[in-house]
Amino acid sequence: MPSRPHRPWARISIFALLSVSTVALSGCAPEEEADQFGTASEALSGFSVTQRAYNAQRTGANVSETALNTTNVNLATFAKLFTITVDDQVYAQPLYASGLSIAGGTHNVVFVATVNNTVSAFDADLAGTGNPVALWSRNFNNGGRPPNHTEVGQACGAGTYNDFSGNMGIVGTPVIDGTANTLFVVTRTVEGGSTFVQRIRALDVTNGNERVAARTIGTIDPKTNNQRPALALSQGKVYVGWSSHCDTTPYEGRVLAFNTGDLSQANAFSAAPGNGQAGIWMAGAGPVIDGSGNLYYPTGNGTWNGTSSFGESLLRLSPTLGVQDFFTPSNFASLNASDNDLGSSGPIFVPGTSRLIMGGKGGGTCYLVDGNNMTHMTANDGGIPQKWHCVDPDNVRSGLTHHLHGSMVSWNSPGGLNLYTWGENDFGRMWRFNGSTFNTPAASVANVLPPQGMPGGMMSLSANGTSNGILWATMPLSGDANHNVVPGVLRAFDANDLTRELWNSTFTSVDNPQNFTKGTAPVIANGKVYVAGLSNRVSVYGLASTTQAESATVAGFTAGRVERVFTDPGASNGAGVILEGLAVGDFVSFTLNVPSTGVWGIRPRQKQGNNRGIWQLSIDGVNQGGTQDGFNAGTVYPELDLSTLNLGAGNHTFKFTVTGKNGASSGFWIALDYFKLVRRG
Amino acid sequence: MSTAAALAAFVLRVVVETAPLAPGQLPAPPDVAAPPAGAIKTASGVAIKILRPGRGTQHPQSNDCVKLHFSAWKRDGTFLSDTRHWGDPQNQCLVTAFPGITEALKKMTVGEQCRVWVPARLTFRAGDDDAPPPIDTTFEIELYDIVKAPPTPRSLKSPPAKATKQPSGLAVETLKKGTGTVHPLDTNQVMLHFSGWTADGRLVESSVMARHAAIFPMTGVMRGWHDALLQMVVGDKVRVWIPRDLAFGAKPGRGQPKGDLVYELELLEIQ
Repeated sequence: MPSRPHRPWARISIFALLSVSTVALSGCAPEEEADQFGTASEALSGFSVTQRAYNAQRTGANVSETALNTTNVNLATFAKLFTITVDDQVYAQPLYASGLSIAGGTHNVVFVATVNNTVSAFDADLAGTGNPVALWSRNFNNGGRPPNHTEVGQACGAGTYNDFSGNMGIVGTPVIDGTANTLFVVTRTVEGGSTFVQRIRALDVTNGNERVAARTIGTIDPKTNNQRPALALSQGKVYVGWSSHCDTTPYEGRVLAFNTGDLSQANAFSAAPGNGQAGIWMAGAGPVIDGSGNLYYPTGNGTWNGTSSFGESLLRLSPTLGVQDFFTPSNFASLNASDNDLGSSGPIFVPGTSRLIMGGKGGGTCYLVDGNNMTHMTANDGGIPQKWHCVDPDNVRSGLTHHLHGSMVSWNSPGGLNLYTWGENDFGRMWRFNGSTFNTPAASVANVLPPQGMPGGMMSLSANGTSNGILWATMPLSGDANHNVVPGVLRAFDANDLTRELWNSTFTSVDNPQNFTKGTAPVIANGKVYVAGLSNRVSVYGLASTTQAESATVAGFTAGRVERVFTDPGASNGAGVILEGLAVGDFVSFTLNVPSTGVWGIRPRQKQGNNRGIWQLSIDGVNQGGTQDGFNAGTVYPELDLSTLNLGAGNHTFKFTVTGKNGASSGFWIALDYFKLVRRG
Repeated sequence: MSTAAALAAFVLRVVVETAPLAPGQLPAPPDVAAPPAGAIKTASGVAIKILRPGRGTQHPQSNDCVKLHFSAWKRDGTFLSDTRHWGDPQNQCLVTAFPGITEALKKMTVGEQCRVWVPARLTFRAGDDDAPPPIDTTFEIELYDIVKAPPTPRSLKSPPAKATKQPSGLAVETLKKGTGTVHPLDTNQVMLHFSGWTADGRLVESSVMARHAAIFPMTGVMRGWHDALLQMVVGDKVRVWIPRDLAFGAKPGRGQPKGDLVYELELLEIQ
């Protein structure tokens, strides 16, 4: 279950290492040896993100990214392009479709679901001059409203259920059937004043219309059961999981399967019948699905008997939701009693093998489990290939919790298969697979340490096959996101060397993604990065057209003044241009090439100092934004978001004119680092 | 976890732990039930039998971590765990170990192997309100290495007279003067080494212990850090006394330390 109030003993790791069971049950062992895990079929043209973590293996890696690379994701050429404002917070991962025909046009489309039960489709590339207008948007409050976090569960933290904040409509990530172009989603409403309802819906991705009548889900408690995991699609059925809210009883972890054609319920599974808990929440992750359509779901605390109740276990369920095999950590009782859910994150498949990795809240332990022989519960966990201390093995925050949330990431790098973990209160870590187990210690460790608290890094990876791997992570900028809404930060790392941070959203204030969501990782598609958040928005990042000032063509400057290149390690590319202005009216102008006709955001970067003037930018003679003060007592390089305007392809004149001087400044100089143009429409 | 679930878990344990020894389990030592007459007994009730002496004279201290292997059994001989199955020695910090284990480790030296009888009340810590039922446990511990914590400052409760005090209550003592010329700004990230203690001397976090410098955005650190860092240049090392309200406040989040804190910060790089 989602985290409960702090229990200091949950950190007593020596007990977490104890095996308290001696049962060694034989595993059910299918015969296949090689990679048996498939990816969902997609009939959508081009690259699409139809499900959580890109694929049914939940690798979290988009290896079809050709635009973003380790060279161009940097301060000068990468930026927030625009923001998509929606009607409420976003916990669900945005989905993406390439080249979709909507309303007579062809668009790359990003689908966003909010906790106000609204699903919207936006052009994924272009925003225009203002907030993007949805291609379509549908609200499913059905005359009622979404449930609020204050009315669904017991106290979690101070006062009330605080794992969420505000509405709790759509939380689980939807899934798209790319063959039928149908998006499946579970909505949660309160209707008639007090009746809680959950419905599964099937939407036409081209217009948001419901393909069939929504189906009320009657075999769960619509108030108590928390639809947190991502929806999954396989063999003509949509699989939906539930937990509770902060262990509010009575409840039991559930998975239901619905036929895609008519949304009728096909199969049902209870992880611990008789309200034995064992919630399925996975911090929003989705189940791994193998090539036979079997699903791997982890559970949280709850009863366990190894035959019908499966708290704290990783389960392999058949397509009809029968238990085929399972793994339960040998310290089940310790994990269970301390609410250290195994299922606080999602499982991830090890490509090229039949193995999965599972990690949860049990003292930062990762388990490598063979999907063909999960070995049930064995002494010392001796039946599984490996378990290891994957969160904070170096004691940077040894006294704090080391839970894993969301999803790990795996990627076939040039040097071999890597696993990426970013548990709470730890650095991000890269583990190298040796063909059977993961080597220890970690092959690479990031230097970035998130603030104390939950949830660590929410990761996603982009690469072009085995090259140009970039690990993207969102995390709190400050504060603990466990029971609070906190500001977030987006970071990008060289996936081969986590000590090499390529870019982050604190470099420039306008790149701020606002409030962090612990519900999902960034999504990378076709050269753009989509970051959902709790500030009712999705921030869209991508490449800019940037000209370094020292390389730009100088169109002119005030006669008799000095215009020169300066060098400074703090400048992008180590250099920029200074106009040594002496009076109001002095100017320097540049001829910059705009690569395509469209709506462009103008983001120059200046070097502030104590002798700078106040200046005004004009483009082709038209002022853009207000006047800008170049004065600062120290040396600072702010990037400015001055305006958004239509520009035709070709050359344009960017003129910087001195309009005044701060009273504290000793001069009228203008110092410019680069000219960044971001395409917004 | 509900009371019913906890009871079920306990019953489950009782049931499964009476099963025959399975492959991979270790047989219990003959004296698992009770320490022999020659065992060292501490006032708290921990008993220690040295199976193999260690080398050197250095013992782990309260804030240290250790590398160890251990096996564990219930007093009736029921096998609980053995870390050797997983290869490398396990990491264990004394601040998070069972109190009984911490007590025993403090008496050991590297290379030493002991059998330790820990009473149930010295397993889970006091205040662990819904922990599993504690059990009397017998361990065999082999100490491989001591990961030393940074030295605890002597004056944790109040800054020395030479510390510079700010109106906010923050006090800063310079331990080493750097050679840098600029100070971090809110637009910067900083790379630093840090260690932090509560007023009673518990080590909260330490990049020094992890031997891995950490990066933070200036806008993301606690105010006590922020205000101290604004005054620093690269190479500076300071000790800062941070009042509660400039740290994690009156109501710290889950796991965050309470009260006034003392940190040592060494600024390595401004980004």
